[in-house]
Amino acid sequence: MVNWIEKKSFKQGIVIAALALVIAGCASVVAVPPGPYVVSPSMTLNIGRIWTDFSPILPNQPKKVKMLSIDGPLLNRLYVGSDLVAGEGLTKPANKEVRVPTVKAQMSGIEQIEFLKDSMASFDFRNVTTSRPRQVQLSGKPAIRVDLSGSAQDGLEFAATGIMQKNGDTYNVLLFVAPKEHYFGVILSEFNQLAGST
Amino acid sequence: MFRSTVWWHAPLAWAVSCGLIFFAGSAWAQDRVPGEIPAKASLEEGLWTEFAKVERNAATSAERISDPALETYLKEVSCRVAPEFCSELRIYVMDRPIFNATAAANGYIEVWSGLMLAASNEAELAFVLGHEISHYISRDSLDAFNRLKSTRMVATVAAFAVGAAGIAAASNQATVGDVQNTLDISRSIAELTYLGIVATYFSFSKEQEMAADLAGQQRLMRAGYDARSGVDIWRAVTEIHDSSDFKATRRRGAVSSVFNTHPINAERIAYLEGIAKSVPEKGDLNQDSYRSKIRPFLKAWLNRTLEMRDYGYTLNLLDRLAKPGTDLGVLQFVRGEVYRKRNQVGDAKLAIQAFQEASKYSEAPVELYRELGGVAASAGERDVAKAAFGKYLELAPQAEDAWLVKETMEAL
Repeated sequence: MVNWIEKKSFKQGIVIAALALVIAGCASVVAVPPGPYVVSPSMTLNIGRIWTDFSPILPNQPKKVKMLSIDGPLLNRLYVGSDLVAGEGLTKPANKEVRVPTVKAQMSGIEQIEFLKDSMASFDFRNVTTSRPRQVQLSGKPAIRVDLSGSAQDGLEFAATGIMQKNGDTYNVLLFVAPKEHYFGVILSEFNQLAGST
Repeated sequence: MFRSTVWWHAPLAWAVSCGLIFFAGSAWAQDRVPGEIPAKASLEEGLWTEFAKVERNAATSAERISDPALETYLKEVSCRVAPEFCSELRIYVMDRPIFNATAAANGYIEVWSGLMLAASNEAELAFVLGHEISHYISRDSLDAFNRLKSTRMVATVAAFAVGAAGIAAASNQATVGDVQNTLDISRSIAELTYLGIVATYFSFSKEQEMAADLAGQQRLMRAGYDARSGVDIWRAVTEIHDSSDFKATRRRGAVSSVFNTHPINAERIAYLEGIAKSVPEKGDLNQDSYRSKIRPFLKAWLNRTLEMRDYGYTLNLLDRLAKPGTDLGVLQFVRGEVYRKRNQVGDAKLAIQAFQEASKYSEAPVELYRELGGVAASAGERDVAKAAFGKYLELAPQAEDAWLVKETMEAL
């Protein structure tokens, strides 16, 4: 009898442990606290406010890309791509019948701006335009920054700013997108601080 | 009513029409008369109310091409094919690079830019408008809704279908991505359920589609347009879709709509061809005037098409657009962009050729020199690249990216 109880308890323990593992393995958003945020050996961001990393719960999220937000992805979102190699982008195709913007080896500055523009368009923004391409520093190395704008399908206007940096054959990418009204301006200084550029 | 006054030009059309009327006539509602508004508290009035919300969304959508000249032109064509309904039709052109047009129950019609690009002339557009207006006149949305109520998911679907959100999702809120998702059987169950219901709501029966084709054909001929235009537009749609890089799009080429319920194009082509053959005289095509109306939008619409990254589809579209021999500066530029973005073996050479060809025409955009420089530099053609970058800086010295181009040129 005792043996049976022990066996039963053991089985229950296994089940509980398995459930705990499953629950522990469930994806959830992650807080990104203020301070240095080491995205990869080649990119560290200087976070000033608490951001939330939504990447773990997003489908089709490339492993090398994080999507952070302060107020929720519809109000502001920051795509952080690190060490992207040829064929990789800020998003993955949902299926074989869809192609998404990807980086390629040895992109010129013009092509890097085009990648940022195409990436924003791939997030379902319309009439995406770029302005003010400029040289900046990201994690102490040269990069290109450009401002973007576009409209959501319902007509709401969005502003964005993107930074792209070439490190040999890999690329680091930041793309911050928010509604032009209120949210972009409010969070822009935080973006400038974490990227270390204006 | 419209169907009872149809005059047929060919035995085939006669046979088809008789078959249609016999098969589906009892299920159809009475045709609309000009100026008619739904009875108070009727189901149709409810649908009109819901579609009015959808129309408001379309009117303010970022995808609407709010160009008075273009909208007036489409209105004029629709009035030519359906003069008795002219005052009650509203046409919106939406910047969506997929072949489609939709008629709502309350007389508002969406025409997508993908259709405008695929049509070679005004007569082909007129056929499609005649087809869509026929859906409106025949109250096909009402029939579709009534058919929906008889399905097994009565409670869920009916509740959903009368909700503005659901209707809007299909006809307006749907982005190009959404439309593609609708066709993609690998989507999540949630998406399939949602969009599947909407698609069910919007699907006209095969008989309704065939009847709309025949009615559109009749209106086309009555208005003095060329009788072959219906055949031509369906043939074009089939060819363009067959050239797609994507299997799902090629499969979609066998149907006319974004929702897979229309009869296959071969069938449509056959019966419309039967009618057209019986009309010996040539009607209006208005090819030049049509091109002049869409010319201001060619580059923007083609750029949107490029965003789909379906290079085979885009190249076929460009071939068709290039046939009249006009707008080659823009068309060759976009062709160069297709090759540059596709970036397969041999594409750099093709892109350079296309850009150089485009540069012979005054309407070619200045950025072609920047792109030519870039692709030539990647291909190791330094002299071509330097000359192109130099030309860009000469033509656009104040461009915001001039410093980048200069930097790239100096690094060669």
